[in-house]
Amino acid sequence: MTPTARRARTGRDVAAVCVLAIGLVLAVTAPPDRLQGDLQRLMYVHVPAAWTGYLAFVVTAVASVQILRRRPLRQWDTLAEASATVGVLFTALTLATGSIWGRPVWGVWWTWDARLVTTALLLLVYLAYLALRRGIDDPEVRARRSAWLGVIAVVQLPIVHMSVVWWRTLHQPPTVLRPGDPSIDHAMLLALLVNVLAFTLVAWSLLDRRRELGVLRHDRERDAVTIPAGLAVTAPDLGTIDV
Amino acid sequence: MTADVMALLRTELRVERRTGGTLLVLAPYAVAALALVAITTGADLPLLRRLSPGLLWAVVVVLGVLTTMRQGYAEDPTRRDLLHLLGMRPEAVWIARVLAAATLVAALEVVLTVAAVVLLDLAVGDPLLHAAAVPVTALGLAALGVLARDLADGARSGVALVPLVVVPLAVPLALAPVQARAVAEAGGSGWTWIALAALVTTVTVGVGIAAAANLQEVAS
Repeated sequence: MTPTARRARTGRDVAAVCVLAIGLVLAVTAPPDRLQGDLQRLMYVHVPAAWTGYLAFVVTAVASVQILRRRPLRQWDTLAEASATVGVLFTALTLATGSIWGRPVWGVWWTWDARLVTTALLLLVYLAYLALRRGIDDPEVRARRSAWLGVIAVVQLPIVHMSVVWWRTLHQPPTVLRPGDPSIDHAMLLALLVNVLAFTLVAWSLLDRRRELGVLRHDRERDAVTIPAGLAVTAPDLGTIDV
Repeated sequence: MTADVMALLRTELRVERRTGGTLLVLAPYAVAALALVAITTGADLPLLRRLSPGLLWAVVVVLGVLTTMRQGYAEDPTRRDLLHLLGMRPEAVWIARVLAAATLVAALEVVLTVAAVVLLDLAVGDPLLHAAAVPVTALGLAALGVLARDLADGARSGVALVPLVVVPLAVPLALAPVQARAVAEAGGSGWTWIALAALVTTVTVGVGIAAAANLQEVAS
């Protein structure tokens, strides 16, 4: 990594920590919900985690399309894998925080609600995506096959987002990404947006590191293929034999 | 291309008729699974009657995936290479495999419907809706299964990965017939739900056809 790239990464990491700290302060100082009180503050983790998960899966889909357009594998395949991993992490966090939030509000850890079920299915499909990647050794085959799944899987995102509109659900309908003015207090909206930005920066940092690992693995796999057998096999050192 | 598809489809179905892998093994297994659900639910007929549409389509999806995982004629890599050398387009091979799998899944759905009527006292509702749901969901499941099988081909986890890929994506196919029936019973039009299943099926078949040549290229 070049010194400029290292500085840029450090700058982004520092920015992520700073914005996260500001987001935390705003989340704590924002007015409580009229009905749920302080419980509603989980929203400042739950919604940004969900948004970051969505974004990561969109990045996976974009990178997958690039792979299918025969763009350089090293660049796009590592990005697709890294963003899927980050997406799985944040979607799992979304489900966990949703469950913690649901227990006091709905009285259950899990309910058969359209939003919950479609989000869980989204997570399962991306776990399958990662399992598929782990199961194939050849980098070219792995990239192409997982790219097709990456393209198919992203179709679920609009279904997850619109599930609260299409079905009768316990989960509340969209409050920010909806037609017209957001149906949320503007101080709460500010805290939410800052946290969304903070989570996005954190995800970017995680993605960058995960991608670096992917690039290292990619290079190792390429070297393993290109090293001639004569260099890999050396004669054993038997030492000197005393006669 | 149509002649190629029909020729390969006939071969696939002939192999199936000789081996009887689906209708002689999987169909009884599916009926046994349905009976097992009934017994474990407590043999409460009114409850089973209420649950029967959902149970039927859940078992269809789970067993339908197994049907698409069977070893067909064109699944063998050597045969697939041979078909390629004979000039058969990968898209034609893929469509034939999907149609063969869809025929078997549709047969399984018919057997399971009869079993659900007998064992669970299923009320089919509008027969036209059910008749439309059978081929649409069969084709969608077959397309998803064959596509997932191609993706998992040669992977270390093997075909065990196929259900994990297919089942979450097949949820609209299981949901649509159940909801269509419920809406029709309530006096509405259930065809919107069948249209949703048809949309999922069309998208899957479209992606599968688009992916066929690419996946064959990386497999060979």
